[in-house]
Formats: sequence, C-alpha cells, structure tokens
Amino acid sequence: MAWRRIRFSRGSKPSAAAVLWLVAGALSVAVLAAAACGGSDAATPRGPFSVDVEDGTPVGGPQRFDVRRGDVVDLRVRADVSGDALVPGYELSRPVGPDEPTQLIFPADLEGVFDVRFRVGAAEVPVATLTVAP
Amino acid sequence: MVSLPLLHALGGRADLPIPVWLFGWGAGIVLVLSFVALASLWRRPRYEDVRPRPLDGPVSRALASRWAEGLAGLAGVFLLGVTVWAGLVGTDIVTDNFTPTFVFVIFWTGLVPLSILLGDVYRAFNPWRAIGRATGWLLSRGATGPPPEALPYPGRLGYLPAALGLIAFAWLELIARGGQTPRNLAAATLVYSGITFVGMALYGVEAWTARAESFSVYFGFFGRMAPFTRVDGRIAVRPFLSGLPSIERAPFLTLVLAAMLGTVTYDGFQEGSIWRDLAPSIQDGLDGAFGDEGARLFTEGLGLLGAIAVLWAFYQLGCVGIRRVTGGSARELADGFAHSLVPIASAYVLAHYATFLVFQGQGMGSLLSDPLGQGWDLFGTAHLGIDFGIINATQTWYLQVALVVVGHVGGLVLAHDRALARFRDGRAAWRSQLWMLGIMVAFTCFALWLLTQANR
Repeated sequence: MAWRRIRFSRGSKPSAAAVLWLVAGALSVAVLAAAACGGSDAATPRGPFSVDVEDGTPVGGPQRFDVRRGDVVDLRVRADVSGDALVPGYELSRPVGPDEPTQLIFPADLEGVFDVRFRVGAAEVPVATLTVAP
Repeated sequence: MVSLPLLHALGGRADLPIPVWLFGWGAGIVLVLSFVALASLWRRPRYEDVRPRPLDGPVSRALASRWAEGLAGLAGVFLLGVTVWAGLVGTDIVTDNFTPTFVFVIFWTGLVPLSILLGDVYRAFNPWRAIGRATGWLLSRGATGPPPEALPYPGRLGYLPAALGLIAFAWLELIARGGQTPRNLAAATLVYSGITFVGMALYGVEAWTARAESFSVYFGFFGRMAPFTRVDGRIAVRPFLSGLPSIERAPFLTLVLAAMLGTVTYDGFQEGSIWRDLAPSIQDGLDGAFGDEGARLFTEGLGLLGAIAVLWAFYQLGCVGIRRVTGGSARELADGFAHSLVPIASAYVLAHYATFLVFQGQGMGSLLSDPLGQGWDLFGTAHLGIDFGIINATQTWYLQVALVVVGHVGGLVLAHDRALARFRDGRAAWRSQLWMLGIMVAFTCFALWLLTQANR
C-alpha cells in the first residue's frame, strides 16, 4: 500500500522525467570525472613468466600472468618451430626459433588484458594472457 | 582434445573485469533510480505520437535531399567494393587488412553510437539499398517498360530474416574458425549481398530493407533513439528516444531484440571463467559424436543460441506476469513493450564494445593508406598506430557502468510511457510497471554482472 501512496502522490510532476535524465546524466559525468588515473609507480620485477610452444600450441594450455601497472614484466618464450612472440597492445615482437628462446622485458605501463601470441606466417595463436591491473 | 578459439583477433587490449564493489554501486544506483522513477515519473504518456519538428534552412534541406542520399549511397557502394576487394586481394594478416577492421569496428560497432546520436544514417549509406533502388530506377526507364510489381512481403515472416542474419553475423564474428580472416569476410559479404538482392528483387527494396535486411533493422532501431530524423525532405528534431514507440510491430520483433541482447551476452559470457570452465566439459563429451571441431562449433553454437533463448524467455516471462495483472495477450504485450529494450540493448553493446571501438578504430588511420597491407601509403597515414593508453582501466569501468545505468533509465522511461498509454486504469498501469521494472532491473544487473566477468 505504501507504494500506491508514493505512486499517486502529488509529487508526480511532468518535469520529473527531466529530473531523472539530469540525475542519470550528472551521475555519468561525475563518475567519469572521478575516474582517477590509478596505478603504482613502483617498478617491481615480475616473473620470469615462461611459455613453451609445441606444435603451435602452448604446453599445458594458455597461462595467465597477473601483474600490476608499473611492474616490470620478464617474459620468456620457447618454441619448437620458428615464429614470432608477440604482445599486441604493447607492440612487442621478437623472433623465436627451436634453438632461439626469447626474453621480453618491459614495463607494464598499460592497464588491461593482453594476449601473448605466437605467430607463424599469417597464423597467430594466443599462448598466454597478461593481465595488468591498476 | 580442446581447441582454442581465436576470438577477437583484432584486439590488442581487452577490458579488465569491473570490480565487485563497482558492480554493487552500479546495481544499487539502478535500483534507486528505478524506484525514484516509479514514484515520480509523469502521469500522462508523452512519447507516443511525437511529431518531429522539421528544421528550416539550407543545411537541413541539403542533408535530407535526394542528392545527399545519392552521394551517401555511392559512398556506401564504394566502401562495400573496397571491403570485398581488400578481403579477396589483400594480405591474410587480420590486423593489416582493411576488411576486418572496417567490418567489425567501423561498421558493426562504430555505427551504433553514430546512429544513437545522429539517427538512421545507415539507411542513407546502405549499399544494398542504394544498388537496389538504382537498379529499380534503371529498369523502370528501360525499353522493356517498368519491371513487374514486387510480391507482397510475407507478413508471417516478420523480422525473422533480420534476426537470423544477426545471429549468423555473431556466429561469424565469435564462433566460426577463420570468421575474421579477410578472405572469409569478403566471401560472407558476397553471400549476404546475393541473399539481399534476391530478397529485394522478390519483395521490393523498401519492404526487404524494413524487415529483413539485418543491418537496416539493427541500426534502424538504434537510430530511433536519436533526436534527429528525416521528414518531408528536411532534417527534423524530436525528443531523445521518442522515435522508438513507433517501431513497426511484426512477428519475431522480440526475437530480433533478444538476438541484439543475446549476441553481446554470449560475447561477454564466453570471456569469463564460468564459460571457460564449462565449455571444455561439454566439448569433451561431444568429441566422440562430432569430432574435435564439430564439438567446438556445437558447444559454442549452443552457448550463443542459449544466451538468446534465455533472454527471450525471461522477457516473455515478465510479459506473462503483466498479463496476470492487465489481461490481454502475452504476445501482444511483449511486442507492445519490446521497444523499451532498445536502450538496454544499446547499453549492452556500448558498454561491451566501447574500448574495442576506441582502440581498434584508431587502426583505420593506417589501413586507409594501406588497405591491402602491401606497404602502400596513399594518404601519408600508413605510419599511424594505436594508442592503447588513451583510456585507462578505471576510466573504462566508470564509462561502462555509466552507459549501462543511462540505458536502463531510457528503458524505464519508455516502458513507463507505454504502460500509461495502454492501461488507462492507473492501478493496472502501476502494477504492470512493477513487472516491467523487474525485467528491466534484471537485464541491467545482468549487464553489470557480465562486466564483472569480462576476461576474468
């Protein structure tokens, strides 16, 4: 019954719709404005994170590596065929071969979830996931 | 053996899941806004029968002129040609070819916010409509006289072809192996063009475009949210969202909307740990019967169709609830309130794909100069890259939650307005609102929950 009273109260004015829109709009602007740039500046070495690729697929399935923004990532990739280890987003690419494991060391300065991929020719396979949290 | 799907081959950076505390805040705000709305919204329908106000002036007339439509159509046909050509002739590397970025980022994702802000711009640029109209015009002037009358569009078919097309597109994007490769995309574009031209030839260009051409229906619904439309050769303005109540009701309207919500739901859900844990078990169980790839396709197809079916069924359930209060046909009620799902669908799409558009859209800079990935630099922009630092994770979370909340408010406003128009009895309108409110809150909280599952 309480809801009926509210629904049919004198407070129902045509301009309430505009108020609701304003509340929603102001809320959106406020939360966007409040979005502070997070992340720690302390450079903490993280890893080494190792990925072994056999027959074009990661041994044991794709792994997930978790770091925080500002960490230094130490990523090592080995493969039984020649190709390239890639971290799109960080724009990193390094050749890998059967006798040529590679090491990528880079600061995790972009937040988000990034694939680590192995590319042979035009084919790219995700071999691990790098998650950089704020 | 479980194989890895290669999803979002275009992606460089994917979104972090929103934290649980933000989910709580988002859901709390949704609930508070809903009950504030219930208590204080207007008491007479305001969005039904809104007449857009045409704008005078040369700009309004020029933008809405036949010449502008013709030019836009030509641009659309040119882009369709480049999409097919680059896909067939260009490099196989997905990120270095014009076609995947254009189809999935600029067209599929970018046209959504553009339609919401500016109206149904796709209608002008629609290459299939432009070709169909031009062909009809040429035939009518030919020596053999006017072409035969088009068949009447089968009423029972309704929006079914559009819904099936949207599901097929999602299957191509999310499930088909190699669905994002340039060559397969070009082939799919040609197949879709063929189907569209046959449909237009049989039932007429406008009839096929209005009900059956998937992208016209998809972008057309979002375009009805916009404050701009075209009336009598002029640009006209109308209140935001007021184009939605006049969506044409036809069979399978709710299926199209469920497909719009469900395809994004599946895309979000399959990124999360629940589906990643569940899918391999289903896949392993089916390996013997379907083989490796067959089991994967079956499992993921089941996920996609299951997401659409669950959302469709939940909405129908809510409408059955409304019928208990108001009487009438549940199906008729479902169609009557379906338009209020469009802002919620827009929230699903924008929240899920906002960063995809912001990041991958930048890739178009270099692709315009080198569409085939062969080292060209037509406009001097081939060196442009993607700045993945343009928006950080925290800002992304707030943006996503804000989009979902605003979409929810839009849905509430429309559902409330329709209830007032339908049920003259204030008590029935109010009680029907409780059911619809429940559906809206559930859809919105589900959208927020999906964001907590992103790439978890």
